[in-house]
Amino acid sequence: MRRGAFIGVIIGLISLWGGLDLQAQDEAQAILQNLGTNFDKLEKFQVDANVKVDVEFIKIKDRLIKIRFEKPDKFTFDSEGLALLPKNGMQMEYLTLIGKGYTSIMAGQEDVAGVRTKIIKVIPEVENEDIILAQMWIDPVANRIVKMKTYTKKSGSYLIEFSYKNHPFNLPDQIVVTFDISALTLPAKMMSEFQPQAEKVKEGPQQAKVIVQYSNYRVN
Amino acid sequence: MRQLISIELYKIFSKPRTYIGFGAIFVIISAIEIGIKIKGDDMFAMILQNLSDRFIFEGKLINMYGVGYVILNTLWIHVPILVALVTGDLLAGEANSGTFRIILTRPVSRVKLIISKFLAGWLYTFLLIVFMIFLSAVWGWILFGPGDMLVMTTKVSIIGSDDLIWRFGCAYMYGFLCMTTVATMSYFLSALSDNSIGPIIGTIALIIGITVISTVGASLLKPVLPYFFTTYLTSWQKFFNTEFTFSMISHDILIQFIYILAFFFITLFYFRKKDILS
Repeated sequence: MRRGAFIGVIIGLISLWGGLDLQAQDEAQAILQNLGTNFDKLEKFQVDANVKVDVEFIKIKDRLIKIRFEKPDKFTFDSEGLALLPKNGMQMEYLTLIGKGYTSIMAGQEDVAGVRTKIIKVIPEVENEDIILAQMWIDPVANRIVKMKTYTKKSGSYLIEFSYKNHPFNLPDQIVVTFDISALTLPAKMMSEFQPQAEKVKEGPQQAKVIVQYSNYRVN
Repeated sequence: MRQLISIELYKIFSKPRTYIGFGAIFVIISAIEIGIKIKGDDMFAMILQNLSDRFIFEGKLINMYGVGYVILNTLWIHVPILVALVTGDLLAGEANSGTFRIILTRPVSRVKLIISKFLAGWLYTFLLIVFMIFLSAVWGWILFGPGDMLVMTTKVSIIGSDDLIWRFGCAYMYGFLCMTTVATMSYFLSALSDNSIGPIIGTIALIIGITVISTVGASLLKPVLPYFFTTYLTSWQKFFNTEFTFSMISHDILIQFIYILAFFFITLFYFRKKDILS
């Protein structure tokens, strides 16, 4: 009798845990879908952006560029001079991820800049996708992404932090992209002396930071 | 004096070898410009391969300034040879053909002759550099147009097109100063020799020799390296440093001036006493 009750309790707990897990997965799915729905009405937009590159060995002044977006995920950049943009973070990669099929896992919650966010891990189902894992900090009340960390096949990991004012489509007013550049080597003086001698930029971990400030949104 | 310089210029420009320099510059610059137009994307892709893993380059990467920078690098490789080809012959050529005896029987002082020949050779060097600038700018404008320039040394600098003209101007002026040093050295060797092959080959051998020894045995020659003018031949690159200040280049300019004056006055002193009858 006792044995039967014990097994019953175990089965009950497993079912409850499984149910909670499924519930959490559903919640993650719902948050991500809401995030995607928010951009459904967004056909296209154009915005001016000021790009500031903060890397020790790169000397470049702030650049003004024009960014154009067209549904579903076409981005074009137009710069008057030569601009350096981060490989990840400026093309609303989260929308592409959500749009192409994924597996999501709820990974808890965290306060980011005074906002209670839900942490969701997203694993893309498309095999040839460069991003292999993304962790998103989403504000479920305002329905917008606050922070995202992407892990890519080719270029390491990127941390993207978003700042917002009050834009109807929840488009960001500033993003800060931080990524690791420790493994970068420069073909030093190749241009100047035609000597392809690769030189390590600096020993130890080094971070690149790109700050993009958006202004003058023209939507649809 | 002006007449003497005109005569010397006439002599220089009546010799076919003078045009070898202009011809070589035309061929080299045209080859670089056309080569970069055809294969430039591959070249830049290879150079920027590492950075391209992390960054997207937006804008015109290959433009007239970038190509102009590549061309400037050839300045210290082949222009000294072309300069020496003419300046090494200025005195030795006359000695070889025995015309000194005729020239110096006329009321022309040896000092005036030395100065006028040097100024004529200097003018040739100047024209060679101007031709290089002109050709580089015209080809670059036609094939690529202007744009921001990417300079890749141990750092990566992206310099705006509005900040480049003065840098190129100063770099070419410094290049001209270096070529004046080369011209003065070959002029000095020309005074020592009675055959123009010696000073021409001697100048080239000295530049290449010192450069190779300085590069290979850099640690061994470290104490004396600051005193070689060849150490400063590539200092024009400093003008493309985003934090450039004049103090970064003043020492290099001073060294070049010291060499120019030293070579010139030794030549003057030597030639005044030179036996031209043998």
